[in-house]
Amino acid sequence: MNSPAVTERRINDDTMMLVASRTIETSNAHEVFVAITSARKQGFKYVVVDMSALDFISSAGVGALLGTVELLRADGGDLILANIPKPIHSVLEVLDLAEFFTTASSTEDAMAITRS
Amino acid sequence: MPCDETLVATLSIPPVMTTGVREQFLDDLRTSLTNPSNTLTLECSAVEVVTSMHISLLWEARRACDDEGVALQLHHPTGAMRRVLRVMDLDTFFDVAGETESSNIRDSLPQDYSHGPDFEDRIVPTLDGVQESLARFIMFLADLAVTSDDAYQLQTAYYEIAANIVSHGNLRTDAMICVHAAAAPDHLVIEFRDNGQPFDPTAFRHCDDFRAAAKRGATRGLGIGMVHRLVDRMEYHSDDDMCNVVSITKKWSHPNE
Repeated sequence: MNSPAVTERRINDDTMMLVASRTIETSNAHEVFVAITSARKQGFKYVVVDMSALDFISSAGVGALLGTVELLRADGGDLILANIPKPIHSVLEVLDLAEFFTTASSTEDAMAITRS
Repeated sequence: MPCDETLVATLSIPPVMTTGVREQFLDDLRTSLTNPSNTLTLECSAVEVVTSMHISLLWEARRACDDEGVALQLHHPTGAMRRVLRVMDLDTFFDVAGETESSNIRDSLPQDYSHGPDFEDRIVPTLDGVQESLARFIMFLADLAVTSDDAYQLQTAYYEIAANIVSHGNLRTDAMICVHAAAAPDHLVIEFRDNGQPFDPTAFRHCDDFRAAAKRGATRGLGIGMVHRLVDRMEYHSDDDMCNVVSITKKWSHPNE
């Protein structure tokens, strides 16, 4: 059985952290979408995706993030990408998304963003 | 009571990985972690061809060790494994000990990969098949000394095109996707050939506005647009045998530039 694409960690009433596994691609990207939309339905305003273990994300994974970020923002929250590995960040730059997403260099920085 | 004694458990990474072998290894791993030890060493010297399942296994071992507070060391990784770890930016994530006999990376290449600037592969048309081929392509890239950013972007483009063919090409289960990559000093050309339904990805050049996709809440159909952004040129034609031929070209910079 494959590992889940993300592991949920409730941080506080406002924030859910999702710890990404090493790969998010066609076969498991939907799990990411479901985890984020489920967190939103539970009332979490912020979802922090910890990407420190992630070594590959396909377009399906990027799509899961793109398809949910505006939903969280519409509720006054945000999707925050933390600990983005450098090569993955380079792809987000090429896609003109590095500044579109709210990013943080650590989960602590991500938490500070949720409190600001 | 303080205890400074080092207790070491050792497991060997299987050279050939199947689902059954993987499950057996995970059973052995769980058993090892139930015994008192503060370090687990994984003997990697037999792994000449590294697949995605090997990397997945290393991750599982790392996670399990972290959960148990046990240090993990990789012993005697082959040149192929070192290259895969380096290209995937994992070489500093794992504690590596012990050199392989060959210190020359090219000398330690599996014979299949000692073919200079060209890469040939045949992809079984499943997503697992794409992952397996991607692991081989990563090894090929590692030998070209491109930057980690360029390598990752090439690997992403490779995955997206192959996965697109698998998902939408409607290939027969016994069909194969043929890949040929040719490296020049400053660029790489990759050609994918398949006998699936005709599909011209160059017609989707306009689908690369990802911010607009976010506004639409789009979650799918982004792969070809991503490839357009990641490579310098993408071309398509159907050859005389009604075979789809997609080629992509990406220029690169060398790490020392």
